[in-house]
Amino acid sequence: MSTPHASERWQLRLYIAGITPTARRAEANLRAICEEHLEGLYDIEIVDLLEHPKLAEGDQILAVPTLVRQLPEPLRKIIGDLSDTQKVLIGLDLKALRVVP
Amino acid sequence: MVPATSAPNPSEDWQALVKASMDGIIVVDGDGIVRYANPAARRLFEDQVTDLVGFHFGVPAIHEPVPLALARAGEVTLVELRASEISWSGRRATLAMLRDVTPRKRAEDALRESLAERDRLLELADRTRLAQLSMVEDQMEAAEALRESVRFVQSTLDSLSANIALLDDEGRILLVNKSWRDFAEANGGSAASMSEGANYLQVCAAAGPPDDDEARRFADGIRRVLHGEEEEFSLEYACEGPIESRGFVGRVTPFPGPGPRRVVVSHGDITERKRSEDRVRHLNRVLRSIREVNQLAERKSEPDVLIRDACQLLIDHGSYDFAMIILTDPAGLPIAWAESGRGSAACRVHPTFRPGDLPPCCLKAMDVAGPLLTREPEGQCGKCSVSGNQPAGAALCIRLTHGETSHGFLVASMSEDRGMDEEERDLFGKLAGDLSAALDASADRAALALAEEARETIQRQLLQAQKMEAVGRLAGGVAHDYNNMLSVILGHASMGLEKVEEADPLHEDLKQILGAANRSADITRQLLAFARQQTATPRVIDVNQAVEGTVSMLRRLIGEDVTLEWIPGSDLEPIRIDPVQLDQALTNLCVNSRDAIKGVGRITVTTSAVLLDEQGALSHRGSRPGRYIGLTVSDNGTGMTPATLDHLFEPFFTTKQSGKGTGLGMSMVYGITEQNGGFIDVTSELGHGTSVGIFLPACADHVAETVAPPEAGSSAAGGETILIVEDEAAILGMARTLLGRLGYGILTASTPTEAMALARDHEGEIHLIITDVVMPDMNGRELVNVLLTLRPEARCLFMSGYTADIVAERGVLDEGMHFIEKPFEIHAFSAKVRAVLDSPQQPQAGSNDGD
Repeated sequence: MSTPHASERWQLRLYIAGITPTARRAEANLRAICEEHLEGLYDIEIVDLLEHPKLAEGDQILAVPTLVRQLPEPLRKIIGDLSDTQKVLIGLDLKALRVVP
Repeated sequence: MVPATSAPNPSEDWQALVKASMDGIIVVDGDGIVRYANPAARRLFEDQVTDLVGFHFGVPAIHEPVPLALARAGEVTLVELRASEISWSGRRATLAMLRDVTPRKRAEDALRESLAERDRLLELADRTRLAQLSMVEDQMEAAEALRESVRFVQSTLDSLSANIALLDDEGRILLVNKSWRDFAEANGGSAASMSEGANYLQVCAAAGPPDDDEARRFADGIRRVLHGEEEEFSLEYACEGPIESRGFVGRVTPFPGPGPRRVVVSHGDITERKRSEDRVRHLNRVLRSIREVNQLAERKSEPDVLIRDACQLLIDHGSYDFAMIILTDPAGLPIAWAESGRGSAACRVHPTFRPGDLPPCCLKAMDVAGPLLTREPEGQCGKCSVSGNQPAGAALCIRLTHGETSHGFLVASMSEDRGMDEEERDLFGKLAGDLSAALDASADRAALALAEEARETIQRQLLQAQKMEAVGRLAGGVAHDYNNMLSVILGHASMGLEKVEEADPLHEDLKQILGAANRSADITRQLLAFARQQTATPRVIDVNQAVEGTVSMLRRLIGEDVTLEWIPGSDLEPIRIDPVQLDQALTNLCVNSRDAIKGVGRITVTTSAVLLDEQGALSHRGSRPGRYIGLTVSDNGTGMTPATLDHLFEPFFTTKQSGKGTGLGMSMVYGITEQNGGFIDVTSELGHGTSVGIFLPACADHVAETVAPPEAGSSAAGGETILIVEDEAAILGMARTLLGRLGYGILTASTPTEAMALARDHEGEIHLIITDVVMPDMNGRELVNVLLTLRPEARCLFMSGYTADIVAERGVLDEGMHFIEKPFEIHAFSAKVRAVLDSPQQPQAGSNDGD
């Protein structure tokens, strides 16, 4: 897999509030998508707002689960359980990457 | 679909609808930036962001509705997110609907929300028509905006759970949402019957039973609102579904605007609200019952009253249709039942059980700590009808325990749903707990009262016994000293009489002295009987035989106006008593009864056998458990007051007129009964009569002796020599004179020493030694033992003012020794002397006790 950002590691941060079924679903969906499209090129950080409520302010999170692409810039946000894979790919701008070799 | 002539600008309406929605509605573009937010959405996030439009919200990536947690400090707010693709200003965007679904919010009825929404919507639709709407118009062409808005609002309406339709003035459907179309299809109709153009009034008219009546009323309501007769109309109704009955509310409100009048019709499911209202009402009733159970506890009632009242209040407050409380003994057997029911549940359950049986639910609840649910439809109740009273057929049963004590069971019938409701079960447990505590307190109070009563009874008996003992000792002492004096008076008066001619005026005086002394001796005898110091010769006798012999004498005694009825009991064991004492007791009782009867009346004498158990023995102080033979004298006379009863046995206590009674009769009866180990039972009711029973121990292993009349003794002297020892000089003198005149040779001694000297020195034979028992230096028995070593051939006769029993108790006399009680009448005395002299030699008197 070769992309313009291949040299750069993707930093993804998933905001949740407690290990709820929705949070678990969001994390599983995220990992599956990343394994398929970004194998070996990504870091996922899970931020539980119940433990670190202050962290929500930095990325301006309104509701969780919210996925934030911190790198590569620009910052992008996707909200929900990430079950709509097409929306996640578009939201992360991954679809475009795949298309352009 | 909406006639152009009458419809307002749809774009305006749709915008108003979106703005009025209670759900948050936002439009998010492809970069996750919010492009539009309705007021509800802005309110939802107002704590977090000042202007939602332009905020980087994120691209929703969901298929199904997903719960989101708002990243807010403090309480957790859950928001349900739905998303659908729309075109916004020609670009793809996401329409996101956000609904607050926190438990608090969720608990609010969905219908109320949608109805309120619709009301607001109608109001706003009207108002906003006049307002300047620029935001959308500025961005797109009017036609596109119109189509967009129609789709937008249609999807908004379709997302609502209530059934909503807009009708024209004929009742034709102008607009109907998806919920209603789906509902119509699911409930046996076709989607077409509830589609635009169909006439809803005809739909109502076509409804069949059982809903036809309500459908007609609703159609009437629509007409009235359409015709302006009513501002609005609403109707709550129930729908019997295949599984359960559900509640609905239908509403009709006018849709304001120019042209013919239109109405908005909505139907919402209010089952959950109804249920939750019912539940809260019911739980409140149970709480009220618990409060009142605690008030019952403060009334300090007996346990059976307490459970009856508790059952009644559970029914009165409408907590349950049927309630039952069963009290059990420590072995778990039912001892008291209380039940109460309402309407068809008012049947009685207790009589359907055999004594000692418990309902199946109680048997099962015995080993369960909390409330136990039993279900009639599952056959768990057997023949018990408690839960059968209920259509749903279930009952809660709980053991009533307080600490280690188990008091019984509380059972209430209710629906199965209710019986499984945690809060219901908690309250039921609390009710049982409070009831148990009240029962515990009640049982404690009862036990305490019983113990207190028993203590008071024993205390009273003890005081009475002590009093009688003290009076008895006093009476006995006085009688003894009097007896000595009376012996002298009687003796000298008798001798004087023999010396004086009948014609002599002195003769009559002496007779009067003798008569008075005899009467005085009677009184001291009675006193001694009361003091249990009467000379008695107890024998084993048949009580019926003894009474039989007295009855005819008694009939003469009581006179003709009073009937004496004698009812002997059968198969009675013999008793051990001096027949003379029995006679005295019976006579006294009959005389008292006669005196209690004014005019004509009846006295009944009965005999019977009774068994005195431990408890009975406790209530008759001094008596032992066992078989007793009772001799009871009952009359229908005046009866006694409690005050009289208190003093009944006291010597010289009398209610009779002065001179009619000595007040010693009942004292004697008392003394005789006590002396023979028995007890007395007196019952009396003022104005109705008295019954006095004397109960003497039965001696089963003895055979009754036949009562033989005493032989008439001869007092002829035969020239024998008699040694008399007596420290009371008057008696010594009197005895010497009397016996000397009868022809006996007399030796007298006033001290034992003197007596011993005489026995040693007297040259002739000494045939009889008569001695007092109680003397200062040496008692009579010891003296006789010494004298008999000197004069082994001599007979002995003891005399004393004390009874033979008392004398024997002091170790002075043995059975078979001769004894005469002071005071004695001279004829009795001389006969006794003669009898002793004629008796065979007493073997034991000689050497048994020796020195």
